[in-house]
Amino acid sequence: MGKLLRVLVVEDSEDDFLLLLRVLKKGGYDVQACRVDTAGALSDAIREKKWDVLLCDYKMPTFSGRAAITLLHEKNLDIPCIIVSGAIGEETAVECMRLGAHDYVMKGNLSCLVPAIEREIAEAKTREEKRRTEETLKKSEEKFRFLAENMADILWSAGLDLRTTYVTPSVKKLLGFTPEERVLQTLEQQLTPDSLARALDTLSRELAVENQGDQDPQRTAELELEFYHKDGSTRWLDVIAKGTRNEEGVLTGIQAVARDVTARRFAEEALRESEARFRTLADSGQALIWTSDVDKKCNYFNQTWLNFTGRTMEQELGDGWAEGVHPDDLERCLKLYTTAFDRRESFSMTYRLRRYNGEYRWIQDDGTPRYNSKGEFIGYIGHCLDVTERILTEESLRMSEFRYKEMFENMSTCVAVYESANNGEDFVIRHFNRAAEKAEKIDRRKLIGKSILKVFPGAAEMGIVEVLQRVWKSGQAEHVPASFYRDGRISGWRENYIYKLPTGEIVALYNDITERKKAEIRIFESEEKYRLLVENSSEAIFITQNNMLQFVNRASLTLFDTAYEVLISTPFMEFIHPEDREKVISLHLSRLKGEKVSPNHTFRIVTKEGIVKWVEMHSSLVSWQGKPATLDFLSDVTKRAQAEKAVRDISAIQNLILENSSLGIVFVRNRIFEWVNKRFAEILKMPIEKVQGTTARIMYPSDEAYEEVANTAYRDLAEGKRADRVFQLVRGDGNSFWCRFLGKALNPAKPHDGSIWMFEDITERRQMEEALQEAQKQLQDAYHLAKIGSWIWNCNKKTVTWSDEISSMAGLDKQSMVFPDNKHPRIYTQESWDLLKEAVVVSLSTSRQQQLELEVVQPDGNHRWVNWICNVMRDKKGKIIGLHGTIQDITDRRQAEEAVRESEERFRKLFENHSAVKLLIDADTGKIVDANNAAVKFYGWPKNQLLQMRISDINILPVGQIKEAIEKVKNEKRVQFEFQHRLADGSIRDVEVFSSCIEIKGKTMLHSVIHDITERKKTEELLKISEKKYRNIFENAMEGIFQSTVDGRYISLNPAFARIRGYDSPDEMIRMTGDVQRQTYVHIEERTRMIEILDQQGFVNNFEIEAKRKDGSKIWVSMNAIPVRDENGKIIMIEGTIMDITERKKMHLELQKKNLELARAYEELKARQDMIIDREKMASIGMLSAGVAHEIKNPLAIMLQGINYLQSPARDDSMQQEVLARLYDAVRRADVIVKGLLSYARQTPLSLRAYNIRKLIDDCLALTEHELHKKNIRIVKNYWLDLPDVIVDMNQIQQVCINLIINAIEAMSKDGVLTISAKRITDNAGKEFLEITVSDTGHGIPADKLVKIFDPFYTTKTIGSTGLGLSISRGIIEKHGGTLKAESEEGHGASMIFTLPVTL
Amino acid sequence: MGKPINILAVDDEESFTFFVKLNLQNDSRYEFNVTTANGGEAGLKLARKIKPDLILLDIMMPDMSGTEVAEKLLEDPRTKSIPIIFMTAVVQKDEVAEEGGIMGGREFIAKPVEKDELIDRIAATLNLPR
Repeated sequence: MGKLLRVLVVEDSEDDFLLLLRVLKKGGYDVQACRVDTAGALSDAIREKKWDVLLCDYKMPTFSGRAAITLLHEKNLDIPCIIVSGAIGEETAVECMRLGAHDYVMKGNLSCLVPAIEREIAEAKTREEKRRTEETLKKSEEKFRFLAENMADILWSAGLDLRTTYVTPSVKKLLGFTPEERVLQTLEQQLTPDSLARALDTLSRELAVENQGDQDPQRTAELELEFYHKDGSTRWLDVIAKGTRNEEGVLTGIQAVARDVTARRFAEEALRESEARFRTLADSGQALIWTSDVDKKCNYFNQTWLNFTGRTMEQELGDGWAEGVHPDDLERCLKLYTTAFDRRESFSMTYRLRRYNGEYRWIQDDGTPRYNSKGEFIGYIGHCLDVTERILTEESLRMSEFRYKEMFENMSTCVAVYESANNGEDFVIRHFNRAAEKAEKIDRRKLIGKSILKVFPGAAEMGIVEVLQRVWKSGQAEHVPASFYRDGRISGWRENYIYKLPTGEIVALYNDITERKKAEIRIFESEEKYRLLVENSSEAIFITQNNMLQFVNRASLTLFDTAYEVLISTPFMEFIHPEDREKVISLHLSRLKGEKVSPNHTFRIVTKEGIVKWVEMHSSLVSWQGKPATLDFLSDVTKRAQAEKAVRDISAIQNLILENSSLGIVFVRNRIFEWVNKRFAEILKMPIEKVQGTTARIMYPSDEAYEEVANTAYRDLAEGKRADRVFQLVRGDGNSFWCRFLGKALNPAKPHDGSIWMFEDITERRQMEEALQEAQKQLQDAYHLAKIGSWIWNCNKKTVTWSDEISSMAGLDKQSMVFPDNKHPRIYTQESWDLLKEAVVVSLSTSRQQQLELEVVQPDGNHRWVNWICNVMRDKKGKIIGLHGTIQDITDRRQAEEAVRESEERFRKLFENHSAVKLLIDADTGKIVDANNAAVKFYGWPKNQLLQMRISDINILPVGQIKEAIEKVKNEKRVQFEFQHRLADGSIRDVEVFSSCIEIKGKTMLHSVIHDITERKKTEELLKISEKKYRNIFENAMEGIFQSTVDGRYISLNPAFARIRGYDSPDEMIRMTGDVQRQTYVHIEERTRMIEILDQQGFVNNFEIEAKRKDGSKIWVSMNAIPVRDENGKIIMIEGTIMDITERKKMHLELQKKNLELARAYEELKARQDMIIDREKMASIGMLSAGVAHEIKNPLAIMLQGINYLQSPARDDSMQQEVLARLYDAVRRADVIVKGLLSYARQTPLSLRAYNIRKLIDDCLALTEHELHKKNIRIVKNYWLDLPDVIVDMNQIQQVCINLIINAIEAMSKDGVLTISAKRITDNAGKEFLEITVSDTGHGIPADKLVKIFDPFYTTKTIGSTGLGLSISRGIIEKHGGTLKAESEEGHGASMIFTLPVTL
Repeated sequence: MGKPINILAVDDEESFTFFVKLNLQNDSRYEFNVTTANGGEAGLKLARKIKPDLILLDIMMPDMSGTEVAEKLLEDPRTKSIPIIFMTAVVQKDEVAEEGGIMGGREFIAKPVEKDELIDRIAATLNLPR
């Protein structure tokens, strides 16, 4: 087959046409041919097909060669046209050539045809190419000229002499000079001297260096220079210059691009100034300042900060600052910061920051979000102040407050704080502590805010309201001694101390002393009772000591019939009957010696009137005022004694009668005269000794007479009768006499056991009988009178004779009164019986009178007491023959005595065992007269030692003052003191002493009740100190302290608070403020908000508000406050402090403003820089972008419209061919443009230097760190050691690496692995390369796509990808002499492998 | 339907004016009558001759730029009130703006442009009923 030849033949002759075809086929062509012979057919043919050559007959009937050629030209078709004519002259031929035919051939000489065709086709091809080149050139030139003349930048080139060789017209726009004027100017005329110097320096240094081995020929220099404008002003231009070199690399001149940066320069200057101003401000201020970026990392710290921490900016940047924060505070701070940051809220936090010297200081850090001028968030700025002092003050204040409050709450003393209402008419309860709550048995919630008159209705009656009013008015504190409170609910004793606070509130400190008071009352009552008992006793009761009556009761006065004063000032002995004195004294002494003496004895006293009274005294030893004394009960027994005396007298009379009787009296037993009296012996005229012991026979004249008497007289006796006989008896001298004798048997049953006989010399009988009868009567009368029973016990006969009185005495049975023998009589108690027996023995052995009080049990079970006295009975010879005595019922007296004794015991025990410490003190001497057990225990001395001491040994006051105190008690009877008492162990205790004055036996005694109040006192002292401190702090604090109610009234506030708010005094301010919210807050809703925060958070710190002063001016204050809640948790009060931070706030606001300005300036600068960078980017793509955009977008515009048309339902399908052809053309055009762009990229000259490939890759990894981190991708590096350097254009190779790494990252999901390996390989030709592989663990690339990925605009990604990355990368690598390929197995990741030659 | 709206499309890209003409004349909402000119000079001539209701004018044309055409039309009282919509493939608006005041306040379409947008903009400029 030959060459294809498409031939269009204009020929009217078919034969000639075929002939031509044959010739052409012969010439080796594979011919496609068409014959036309009209203009229309020709037009159609050339439109329908592309022809290599046109063969044209010249002369035709319907057409002519000339017309055909003209048609071709009209169509602007450059098809080689050869005239093939049979007859054509030279002239015609020339004409045809002129018209545009390329050759002509004679039909007769067709052998020339083939060579002519070949030549013409070749020429046409050359022509075509030339035309195309020209067109491209023309277009390109136009484009660049357009760009150059319309661009804003100045392009400038100069020779080595630095004279301008070319400058773009833009120079006129920027600097006012035309390019022509410019060419004539020297550099000195163009640049300011300073800029000139810099320019020359840079040029000589950077550019004018001869080409040296390591010198980068592409090296550029950039500097900002100040140019003169034609109008005389200057402009700042950013100049990028580079040397131009010829092919040999020799420097031939300079090329530069300049851009007007005046505006930027000014902005920058302004910015720099502002920055400097700000920095100075920031660095010189007290505040520590920092800023952070949008990632929360800190990016700036001012000098103050750095000075403070002693660290460098580098150390602090990022999160470095956190190292200085106290570990205890860090977590809280970070949390607060992060939370606020994420919400873009301002925050304020306080934490400890380490100072350069290691000390931690408290810092208050206020952070605010920063925004640039566009309102975009750009990070935070914080400023910090050292608030250590404030924090410390606050803490101690809080502690103090806490303590104060705790103390208030837990004080054992009740505290109530009142606020006056109705100008002091009423008082409202403001505080009420727990002790008070307890004492009043009321929940304080029911009290707070209420009127005292309402909640304590008894207060007025108690008098406390009056005191409150007085204290409120005078300000003088008052002590209210124990006073009684009573209302319908509670009652009790209260002891108040009331004073006024500076706030005007009244504080009542008080104790519930009800219990103490009750105890006291009990004591006094008991004492009173005792006293009454003693006073009203019918017995005289008194205490004697040192022969003086120390204490006497009323009965004593009666008994002694003497005035009290006289009684106690007269020695007791003087009252005793002189005859009894000795006896009483001896008894008394015996008793003192401790000898066992009967407690009862009877003696006589003599009243001042001289009346003698018998008294029976019962004495016992007591201790009185530390010394032994006797407690004496004295009963008037005068009458009894008189009766007894009568008995005794009668006994004596009896004896006298018996002895001196005119009758002979004989006691006969067994007819023997056992006892006879003197008279009997006289009657018988025999010595009494002869008569006694003899039988009665001696007086009888005969046995018969003796027997007769025996028979008759004894018969009478045996019958219980009295024998009465008259006999003639014989005297001892033998003389008979008449005698009447009377006899009576002691026991009629046994008359011989004993009988008494009386013999009367009848001569004197009548006289004697009468006398005897009289005496007997008298005796009985006496006994009867004294109710004294008498008895006689005969020790020989063991008989007892009881007088009739016994039975009349309170039902005692005469028969049952048995005398001691071995039998135990039921009528005595065992004790009394034992006493009785003993007394009998004693009496018989000592012959002394015995007196006992015996307890007798009556048949009806009642006990009675009897006074029993016995004396010995002797016969004439003094031999004891028995006992006789009296018995008297003393039950009533005894009972009265018992009662008194019991009362005394009770009284004594009350004193002794009282739990309160009690002392009895002699008011005159100060001696401690008595002390109870509690006192002994409290003071620590043994009681006896204590009773030797004086009160001045205990009370540490000087003696003089003690005396004064005692005088006070004496005058006021009852006083309360607080003293300090010394104990045995030397310690000093605070005591509260209640002293009252009592008169005991004419002596003034102080009865002192001592309470140890040391603890209470200590508490009080502490409270005072604390309170004082609190008050001091309150009054003198620099910061304002306040308490306000929720509804907006100030309860209290300190002078500083008033001062800050412009008031003269706290009082004035409290008075003038009725609504805190409206009168204080500029923004009233802030108070509501603050209370909400208080409720939720429990405190506010550094709550900043704008507040009004008295004069209406505004200030800024920082408030710290805590809520005070009631029991339900409801806030009732706010306590807090404020600080005037107006200055600080002003500074803060100023700073914020400056900051904002700075931030804005910075943003502007950055935006400008970004713009410049963008422009530079454009420039670096060789100003292509605009052109490229235009060139690509125009076809795109066509395509879009075409596609729109195709999509349109109204399209005309007949147009389809043309539409598609036009779209095809557009696509082809775009393709060509892109290829051109790629080739441009390849054409970018390389700037080669030797680099360490590892470092280069690592740099790339660093640049993509963000993306790697985002997907948590692990990097595996697999580099050979000892890799040689590669000589590359670092920027371009980095571009490749980054491209590959980013592709790999994008191919992977989270947690993938990116492997980068680098090794050294040798190719077949022995050339050395580094092979770098970037592998991912992504989804891989399918085989059918693997071949396409290097095609331009091919992309597997969705949006924002050009599809140029890999094709450009491959271009770059190939330009370096390496290769770039891809390997992948679908599903197993992909590897991109590129090589770089080790040596060029 | 009232009188058709006469549009003159001026662009050195013949295919572009070709498609614009097709698309506008096929529009179902408005009746457009589109005349095309492939070059600045041809455009200027036709504008003076037919006085269209609106001119779609490309800026970057080799023989005479769109801005120049617009300037000339403004100088002529007969043509100065014809609304013009500029079209350009050059994206940066401010670069065009630097050419001078002629563009100020005029409609401006960046190529490529969707047919619908183009029609919407024409309709908006001429306050055509929607």
